[in-house]
Amino acid sequence: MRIALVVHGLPPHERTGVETHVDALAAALAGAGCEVALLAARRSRGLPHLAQRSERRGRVALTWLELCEPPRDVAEEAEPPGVAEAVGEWLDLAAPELVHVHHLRGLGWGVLAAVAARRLPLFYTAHDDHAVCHRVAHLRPDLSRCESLGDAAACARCDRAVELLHGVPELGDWHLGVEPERLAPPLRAELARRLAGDDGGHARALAERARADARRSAALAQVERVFAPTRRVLELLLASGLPRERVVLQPYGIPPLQVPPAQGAGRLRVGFFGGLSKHKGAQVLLEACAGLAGVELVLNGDSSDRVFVESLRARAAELGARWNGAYAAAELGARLAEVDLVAVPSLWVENAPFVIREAFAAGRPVLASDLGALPESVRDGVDGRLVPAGDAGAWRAVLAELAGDRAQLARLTAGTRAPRALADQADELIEHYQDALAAREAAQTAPALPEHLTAFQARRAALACEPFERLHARVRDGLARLRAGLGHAPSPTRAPDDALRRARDLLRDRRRESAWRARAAGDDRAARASLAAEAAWLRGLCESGADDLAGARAAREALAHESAWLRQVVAALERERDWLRGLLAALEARAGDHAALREHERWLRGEAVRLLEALEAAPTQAPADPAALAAALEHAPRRAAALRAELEWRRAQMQRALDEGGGVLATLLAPTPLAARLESWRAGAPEARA
Amino acid sequence: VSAAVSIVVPALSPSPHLERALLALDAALAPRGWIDELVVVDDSGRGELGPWVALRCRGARTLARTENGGFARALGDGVRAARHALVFAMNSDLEPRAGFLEPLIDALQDARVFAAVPRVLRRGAGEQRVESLVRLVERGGRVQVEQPFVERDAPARVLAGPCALPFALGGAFLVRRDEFLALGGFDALFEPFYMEDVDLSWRARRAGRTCLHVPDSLCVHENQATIARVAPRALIAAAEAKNRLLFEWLHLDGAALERHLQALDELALAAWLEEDRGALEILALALEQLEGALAARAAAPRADPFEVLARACDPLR
Repeated sequence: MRIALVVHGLPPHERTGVETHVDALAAALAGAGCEVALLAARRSRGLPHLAQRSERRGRVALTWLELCEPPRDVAEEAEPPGVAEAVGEWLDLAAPELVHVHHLRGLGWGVLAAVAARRLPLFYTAHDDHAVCHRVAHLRPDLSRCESLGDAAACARCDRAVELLHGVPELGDWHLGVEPERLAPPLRAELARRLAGDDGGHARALAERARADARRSAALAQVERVFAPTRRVLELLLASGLPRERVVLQPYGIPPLQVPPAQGAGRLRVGFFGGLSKHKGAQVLLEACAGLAGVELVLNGDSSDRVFVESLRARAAELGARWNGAYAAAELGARLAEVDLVAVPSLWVENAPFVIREAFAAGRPVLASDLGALPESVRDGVDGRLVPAGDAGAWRAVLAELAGDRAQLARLTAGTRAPRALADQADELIEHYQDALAAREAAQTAPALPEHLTAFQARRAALACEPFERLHARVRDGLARLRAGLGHAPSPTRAPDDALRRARDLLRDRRRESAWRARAAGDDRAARASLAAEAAWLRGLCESGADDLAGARAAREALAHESAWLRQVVAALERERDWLRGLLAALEARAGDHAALREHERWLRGEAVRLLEALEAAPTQAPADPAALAAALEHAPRRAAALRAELEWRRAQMQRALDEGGGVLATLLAPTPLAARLESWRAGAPEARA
Repeated sequence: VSAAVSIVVPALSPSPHLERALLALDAALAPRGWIDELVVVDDSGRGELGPWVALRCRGARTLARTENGGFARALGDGVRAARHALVFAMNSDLEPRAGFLEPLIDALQDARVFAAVPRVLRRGAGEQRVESLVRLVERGGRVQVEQPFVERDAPARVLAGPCALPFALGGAFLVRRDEFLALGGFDALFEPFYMEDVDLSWRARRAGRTCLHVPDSLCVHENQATIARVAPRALIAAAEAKNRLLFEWLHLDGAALERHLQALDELALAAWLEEDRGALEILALALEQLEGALAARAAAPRADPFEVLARACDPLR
């Protein structure tokens, strides 16, 4: 059975639990008869990003994948560009029958899709909470514990806080978090703000996190079987939505451990083993042991969090604790022999630390924090003690109790039992692999090919499953037989050796690099084209802006002209108004005259009528006095002539008044130069304004 | 020229193109008074073709195979069952035109001619787009099969009269029955398909015989109507590439063979360097049949070097 294993790191580059376990598991599977190809990530100086280097590690074909470029954002952290493709290329060469992914931190969830795309049975071991917490440890960047599961808003707050801490180089490799009290007050306040979701970038971070989480869920949905080393992780996986039938509880096994006989000592020797990161709690243990009589603390391990390690080392020296530093797997037995019990003072929700199993294998009881899945590993009062996490006082009390009560220590030591063997775990895994392959085979439907093609197709399919190097060896051998069969001399082409392999690795690097450069150049070209288009648009905008400006200036000048002209028009209109007022006053005066004349005319007409009536009545009403009559007769023509003359005068006056009134009216009604100007202005004004 | 011919048509299943072929044959054979024989070899393995063929061409005889064996085996069965001395091997996607047989029969009057090949036109293309005018060229140790007049018109001089060909297309050629059987027909080494026709013709060529292109005989070919409809493209390409290697191992010699072996070394090295497993898989598939290829090579008669033989029957010469 050809198995491919994928893990985020491996000794000697990474020495913590999962990496060491996978290294041993690969060897165990190979020992059980499997053909194992193992891909592990690392970061080497002098090799390009995503370069692959192959080597043999015992019976395991190990390939290192160089990851040199850190992710730039949440999306890249979830699926680093190019990694899934590189893993896919490796799978095509290794041609495994199935793939078991152990950890994807740094590699990204795209790896699962790359496996699924090749229709290979896919297994995944949830060594920790990475499948449900992108920060793995359910710890927020201020090292406080996070109780949310699948809450994108809470995760986005963590992302924002992480962005902040990434920008503080003096923190060093702060790994999972940093105690806020180590931060300057403004930074601390900003960290708190971001963790509360009160900063401006939360909405963006939430959208990015939701997208990344959705990608992770989709990737996990393609896994055929998920192994959980503890019940706690199993429950978490189920709570995250994975179907029960796909999640399998599989406790860890460990390889045989050689432990030299313990050396007696007067003091209680307490050992810390593993990663010296803040969340592992060595600092709590150190403070718990400070000045504690009858207890000697021995610190074994290291981490990439150099700032923290150095501060811890200084404090250990100050308190008289023994500092043993990093150790290789082969040294573990000897180091365990130097202690009476092992402490696991973790501050994070630990899953199943291998050191507990190794301590039990060496017959050492374990003091562990009462957190996470630790109670599944340590039976309180039987093979160890459970102590409140992070409570240095409680730890100090338990240590003092055990230092003074060696009988209890002996009982706990006697209570330890041998952990599961790694070979046993490997056998169980192989059964799962075989089940999956058998199910896959049974599910495959017969191809709808004519019968005479099926044999050829089957041969092709068998060759497609052959590992690349073996296929090449087969071809080389065949070509040698061909030459011999044709009576030709052996090929002068040499078989691939290490030098050629190195050349091929370089060739692959160059090919990948040139593909990457071509892509980058394509991106650059696209960006340049986009910028050029934007620049052209801006140039167009500037040109049309200049035109608009010139137009606006011209309009302003036109408006200024128009305004001056309007002022002149207003002055002329005012003058015209005054003139019209005078004319109106004159007209009103003429109208008064006209009325008076009409009155006078009416009186004259009355007088004339009376006179005529008098004349008509005169013959019938002759005066008694003839002289008077004669005088009257003599006077009457004169009087009539006078009236007639007066009437004519009045008529003439009236005619003159009428003529004058009519003249004024005509003046008003007749087109004047001013009226003509007004009319032309009204007609032309809209155009002038436009 | 009134020799009777057995026309052998292997078929996989009822299909529109087989129906057209039967109708075309009916129309072409009737004027000859049905002196010929039409044998449809039912290669479905289920005997389902007989009634279907009888309904469409009453003159046809169906020979049912008990299992699906592919074109080469079905044709072999058909030739063995043929009653006449001349056999026209025909793909089920070919439509012969009236009078196609006489010029071919005429060409076989010449005893040096092993096979007579009609002018095979691609459906929808003009009469100068000829699939059956083929070349065999060795370049850098690799043999190329070329059909130069599929994408461009064949010059009039090539179509003016019969000309020598390096091989007869397996889907349309007239051959003497006994000679076909004596040469062993299509070699099972080339299963599932491709290059078996080139190999058969080349074996005849090595024995001093020739294939003749007869432009007065016309057939129309429906492209990609048979195997391309039932097999994935990658499988077809793999079969073709595998069989090209086998043909080269059987028939290349002298300097061409030296170049070929060097080309294979380079191919294998390049495939290893570029991690191109596809190329290695093809080589491995062919190498699985190495022993058979070497045995067939040993049995082939000695002849002029490959390039000399190929040059002599190049229609572009």
